[in-house]
Formats: sequence, structure tokens, C-alpha cells
Amino acid sequence: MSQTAVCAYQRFIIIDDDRINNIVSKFVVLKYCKDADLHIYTDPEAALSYIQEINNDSLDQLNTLVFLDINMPRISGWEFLEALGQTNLSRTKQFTIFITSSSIDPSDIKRAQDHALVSGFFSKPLTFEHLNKI
Amino acid sequence: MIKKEILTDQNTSLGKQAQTDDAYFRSIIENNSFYIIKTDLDGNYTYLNPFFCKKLNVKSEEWLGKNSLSLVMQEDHDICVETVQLCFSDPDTPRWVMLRKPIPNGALFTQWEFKILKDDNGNPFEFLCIGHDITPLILKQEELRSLVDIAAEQNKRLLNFTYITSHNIRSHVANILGILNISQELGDYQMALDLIQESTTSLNETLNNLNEIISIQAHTSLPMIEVNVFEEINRVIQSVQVIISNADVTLDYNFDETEVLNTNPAYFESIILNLITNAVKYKSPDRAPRIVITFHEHEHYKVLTFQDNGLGIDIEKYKDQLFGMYKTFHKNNDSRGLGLYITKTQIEAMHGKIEVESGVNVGTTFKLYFNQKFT
Repeated sequence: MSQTAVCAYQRFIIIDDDRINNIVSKFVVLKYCKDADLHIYTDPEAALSYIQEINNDSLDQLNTLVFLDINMPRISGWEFLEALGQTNLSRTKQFTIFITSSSIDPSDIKRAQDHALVSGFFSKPLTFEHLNKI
Repeated sequence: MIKKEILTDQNTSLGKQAQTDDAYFRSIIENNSFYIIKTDLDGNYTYLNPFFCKKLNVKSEEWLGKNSLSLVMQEDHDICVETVQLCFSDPDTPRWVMLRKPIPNGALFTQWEFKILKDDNGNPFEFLCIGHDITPLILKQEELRSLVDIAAEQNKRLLNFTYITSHNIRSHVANILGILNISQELGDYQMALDLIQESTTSLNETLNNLNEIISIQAHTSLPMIEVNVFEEINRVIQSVQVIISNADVTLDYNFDETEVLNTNPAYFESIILNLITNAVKYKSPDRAPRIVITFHEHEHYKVLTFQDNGLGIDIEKYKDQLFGMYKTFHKNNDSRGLGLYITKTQIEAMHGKIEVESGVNVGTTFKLYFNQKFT
């Protein structure tokens, strides 16, 4: 398997309440970039604190790729992004965020395309083709 | 246009033609369809026709000389005055206006034409106003508008339902696809099979849930019977007695044990069960759970209120989502995000409604409105 740009990311964060989906995503990412530093969160609130923690740590400069689900309990992917926007992400460039969802609601896809913090929309499941495109 | 002379007594009129005219015009002003009134330039009544007096339940002699705005509802004073000003600015053009008139049990919707009458020298002299009742039309219009609103709301919900269901079905299918995609590389077929099994079971459960919801919404003839509120609630409580005892729940029934209401018993049971188990599920760790159930009548509804002292929810934040499908608000793993959606669907299928008030760490109050006119 040819490694591409995506493996240059120094850290991966997967946020999805679906356990099985996370198993698939984890396998796909690790197969693609075998040394990937992978962090998986089923609880979006915990993921949010983690990202805020990174943001507050000025020594942590790792380029981070985030896969974010939309439909999650308590806070949706959109609310997650909103909260992220409000935390005054001082190093926005450090984070590249992709929405991963099984939604086919065109308003979700459009919203992902239009969102300032979002780089793209992937329909689940995550595949090597998706990673190729990053 | 009716001449102003016809509205006054015409003892002086001479000749047969004049008498015929008189009878003719009198029949017009004494008609039973149109209001005809006149006012001076200050808006004080100078004439009220019998039909107007009859419909507004007023006596002509009591109102002559009084301001006509007094017989217009407060909300329409501005538009009435505006219309009069328009007449003054262009005295040759009649103006139309819709005014609500106070009557003993509500309001009369009336449509009017205002026109300035001039004296012999061509100066504005008085107002002639001809109106008719459009109340039935307005009521029909309101009814239609509410039907359109309901249809629009249903359409929106259907579309939303479609996206949600497709999402929920797709999410399991995506998992199965994802597992199949990696199974070759995974090498561990047993693990792949187990994951596929888990996904398939979830998919099946999702389909069953959707079936349940569709069957509620599709019910056209729902059997409704009169049930005893206390007995029915008690029966539900008995069925979950273990949960209630384990959580040490106190239940307060604040209503008469003889109260009855019309409902579909199966839906009633499902709704009560859901609210009771929710109250237990989302109880506060800081206090013993307590549910207060009250009952009252409101218009054509019988209203059951369930008040708990549980975790509560941020109602401002989650108002639009609370009754939504697959929405959960607490860190409970057994939450499916379907209960309140089904409860709302069931009560709406019985033409009732559900309202909620809540405060974080205070508790939640659900009000169930059972429509007693729906049979």
C-alpha cells in the first residue's frame, strides 16, 4: 500500500459514538499509516476536553487529523464544532477536521462543505479511498 | 350611491315617483345584509341602520352623536383612523377596511367601504360607511390556514423522518460494509462475523423501532375508551414495581381516584410507562426520586401532569430536540432516544399534545393533554 500525505499527520482523533464504526476506522487508519498516533473517543464531550487540552498546551504542535461524526448523543458534531469555535482555537491550522457520517441529508453535506472548520465530508464507512483523498 | 336625503324622513316629498323612490331606498337601508352608518367628520354617529343595531346589539338613539371608534375593537382603531385620513386626502375615492366589532361573545369581522359625502358646495360633509359581516369567511380562512400549517408541519416531519430513518439504517449498513472491507486484511474471521452479527442485530432492532413508529402514525381508527386514571396508572406501576422499589421512588397521586378520561388504553399504558421509567432512569443522585401526578381539565382536554425531581434538562438548549428521534441527553448507555419520540407520536395520534418544563437539577414536568373530543 502506497502511503500518501495523510500519514504525515502526527496525530489522529476519531470521534464517534458507534463502537463498531470505530473498530473499522481504527483498522483502516492503522493499515494505511501503521505508526499512526490514534485517539478514539465514543464520548464527544471527552474528545472536546482533549482537544481543548491540546490547544492550551503551547508545546503540543502536532498536526492533527480529526474524523468527526454528526449524530451523537447529547452533543452533535455541529455542536461539537460550535463549542470548538468558542474555545478560541488558537492554532486552527494544527487541526484538520473531516466529517464522517452515514447521513445522506443534503443539508448535512452542504453544511460540512460550508463550515469554516471543516475540510470535507466522508460517507461512512471510512475507506482507503477516503484517506487517499486527504 | 345613496343620496343623503333618503336617510331622513321625507314628509315633504311630493308625487308618486318620490314615494316609490322613498320605499325603494328605505328597503335598501333596512336590508338584512349590509350595515349602513353615517358619521360626521369627527367620526360621531349620525345614522345607524336597523341591521347594524341588531347585529351589534345597540340602540340607535343611544349611539347617535357618539364616537364610532367605540364600536370598533381597540386593535383596529389605528387602521380605522388611517382609512379616514385616506378618505380626507382624496375625498372622491372610496376606501375599504376590515374592522373587528365587539359583540357580547367575541368579535364580528366586518368589511367596510368608507366614503366622504359632500355638501352642495362640494365640501366634505359626512361619512357614509357600508359594511357587511365576513366572520364566517374569516373563520373558514383561519381553519384553512391551520390545516395548511398542520400539513406543512407533517411534511416537514415526514422529510425529517426519512432522513433520520435512512441515516439510522445506513449507519448499520455502513458498519457491515466497513467490516467486509477490512475482513480480508483483518484475517480474524470470527471477529468479523461477531461484528457483523452485532451490526445486523442493531439493524434489525432499528427496523423494528421504525415499524413501531410507523404503525402508530398509520393508525386511522384508534379505539378510544373511558378509563379510570388512577387504576390505569396503578396497573403500570405494578408492572414495574421492581424498578420503582429498587430506586425507592415516592409516588404522589394528587387527584380523585374516580377521575376518568377517554384514551386508547394501549397508548395510555405506553405513555405512562415511558414517563415513569424516564423519571427513574434520570433520577438525581442527590435526592430520593419523587413523582407527583396531578390531573385537571383544560378546555376539551383532560390533562395529566407528571412532575419529577430528577436530573432535569436544559430546556432552552434542547427544546427542539427533546421529542426528536434518537436524541439523548444524559450519559445513560441504555438510552435509545426513542421513548419521548414515541410518546409524542402516540399522544398526537389521539389528537392530544405534550408539553414539558424542566430545570437542570430541579426536575422535569410533563403535561399530557388528552383530547376528550376525539373519539
